[in-house]
Amino acid sequence: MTSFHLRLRSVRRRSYLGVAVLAAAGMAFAGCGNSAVSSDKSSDNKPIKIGVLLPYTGPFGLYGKPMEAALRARLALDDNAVDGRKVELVFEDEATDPATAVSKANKLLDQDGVSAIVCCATGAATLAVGPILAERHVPQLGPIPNPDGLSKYKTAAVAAPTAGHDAGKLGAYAADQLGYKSAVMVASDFAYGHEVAEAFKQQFTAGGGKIVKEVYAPLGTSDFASYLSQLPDADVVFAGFAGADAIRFVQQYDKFGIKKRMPLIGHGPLLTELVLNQIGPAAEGVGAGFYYSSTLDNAENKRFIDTMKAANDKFVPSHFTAGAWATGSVLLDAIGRAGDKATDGDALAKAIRATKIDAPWGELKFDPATGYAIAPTYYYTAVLNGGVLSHKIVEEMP
Amino acid sequence: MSFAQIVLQLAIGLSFGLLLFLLASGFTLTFGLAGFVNLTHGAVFMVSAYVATSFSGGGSFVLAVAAAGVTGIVLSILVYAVSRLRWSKLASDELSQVLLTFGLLLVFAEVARVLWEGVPRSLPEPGFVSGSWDVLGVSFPTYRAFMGAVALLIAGALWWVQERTRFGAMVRAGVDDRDMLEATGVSAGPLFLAVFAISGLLAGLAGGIGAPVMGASMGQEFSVLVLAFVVVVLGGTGNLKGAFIASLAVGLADAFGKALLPTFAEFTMMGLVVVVLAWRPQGIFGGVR
Repeated sequence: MTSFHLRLRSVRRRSYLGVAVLAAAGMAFAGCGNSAVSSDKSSDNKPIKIGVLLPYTGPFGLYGKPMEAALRARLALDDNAVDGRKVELVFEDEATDPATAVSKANKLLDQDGVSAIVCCATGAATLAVGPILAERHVPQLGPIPNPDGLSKYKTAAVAAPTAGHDAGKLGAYAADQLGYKSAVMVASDFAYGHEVAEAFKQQFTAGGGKIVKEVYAPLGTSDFASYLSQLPDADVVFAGFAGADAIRFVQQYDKFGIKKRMPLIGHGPLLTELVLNQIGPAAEGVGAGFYYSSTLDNAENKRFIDTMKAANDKFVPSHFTAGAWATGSVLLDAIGRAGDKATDGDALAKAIRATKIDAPWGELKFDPATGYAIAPTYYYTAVLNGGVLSHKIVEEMP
Repeated sequence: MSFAQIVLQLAIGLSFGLLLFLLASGFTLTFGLAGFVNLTHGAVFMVSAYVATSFSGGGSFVLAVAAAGVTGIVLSILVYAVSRLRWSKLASDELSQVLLTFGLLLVFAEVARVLWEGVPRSLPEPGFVSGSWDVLGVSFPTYRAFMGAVALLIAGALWWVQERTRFGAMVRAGVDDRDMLEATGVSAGPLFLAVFAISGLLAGLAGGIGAPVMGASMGQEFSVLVLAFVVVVLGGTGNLKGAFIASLAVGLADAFGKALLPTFAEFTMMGLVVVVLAWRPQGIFGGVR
């Protein structure tokens, strides 16, 4: 016992020392950061630093590394420079956690002196960082469909349409083009599920459709059997699930024979490339409305997939990586147009919102009022070819 | 609810309940015998499920389940080995057990994230049970019946070991009074090791057999752990018969809860726990301690 205590005490003493050293180092770093910021303005050949907050740990942890690779690859195509001025990326882990995202955002601002922050892949983290960056007049650029709620910050922009936008388009499309008169909605019982279900419902009923029943299942449900067996008859079932839940839902939808009775459609993540082949043959014929698919036939999508596959032949393109890629394009373009004013937050934010480029899903521009991207939305279905599932684009939804 | 619907919900609930028993029986055994709260049980299930899904590319289903079982044994013995380093402190202190096994749970989960990149995965069911039965206008997947039958078979084997063998008698004696058992000359150490191994085997098999239905995904380590806890609380610690009844009750409550009150589905199971705890705090089959 005593030896244990002694050891504990020496460990404590060592850790105090460690804290002191860290604190000193932290102050030194902070000093460097500040001086870097002040000298930035005097010289145009200093690299411009962009902070990037991505999830490397936590439930969204799987998206961090591939998104970083896509963003780096896009910048490398332009030699990491705009008009001879270097663009430097500083990556930090937001850990799928709003509190961590906030402290990392502060670190990027105070220690690294970044001129803009790409944030985030997690909805809650994106919304938590928003007000901080707005107050400091530093542009925020969201790489994937983030929740509604950034519109009130003039410095914020999102390089993708909201999830609700795409789901709403699908609602109108289901009523007008696909000719469905009634629908059952099943979705995840958290912010994302409710957002897409509400948007779908609004547009579907506006188009003359009727919602027969709404069911919300907890996030992380592995067995949907009992929910499925209680679904009433309708022309179509709309599903709002992502990740593991999407896999289980589509598999069990088929297994319990519901697919023979009613077709299944959903918002993009239900059928994204990351889950499609894990779902297996059960996904065949399921439809989705989304702004991105790896099978979209355009030059930028080809350039994106070819570049990524050349570096890693196991690369699976998805809207996460396509979004990171397009974010890189937006940054390069906006920094170029901002020119000497690229380190002025408000000017760079304005330049970002005025960007009009080719993204892997087609033309990308921003709604000047909200800062969210205006992008085409496609309807596609899953098809089985030689044992491999892929998307078949039906058309761009009106 | 029509008759066909009731039968369907019964089938869903029972097949899930039987799988749940495989998961919870190992948990309740280490809890009851060694007085050891092994929180890694959920992570053992998840890692084993991931190992099983690695055989999805044309490998045999039996091989996948066997590999999952072996993974369970290895991980569980690893937990025992780590605990052995400070057994004298851990054996009597539940808080230390919880801290240690929670840490190991996080480590296992992180290793799984690195190995499988955090991507949710599936295991296709074997060909001979891949269809569905259509009865009375409702469909029931054949695999779920198969899963229930296999789980029932393993439960039967476990019952036989527990009730009919000398080893089972020692385990039962250890659950009731460990000091007395050691006083009669039975060393608890090897017994603990065996119980940990069996516990891991059961969790691993549950992960493997459950993989075609539940798959493998991050976060599962916690969700299945909660289920195991519910079963142990309901059935009483170390009580296999209690765990069996409790598993079926939880499976049925879950199925009917989701079907009748989808919005409160998460609540129905916990509602069951509250009712049982108010009525019999030691669990339905828990003895008086």
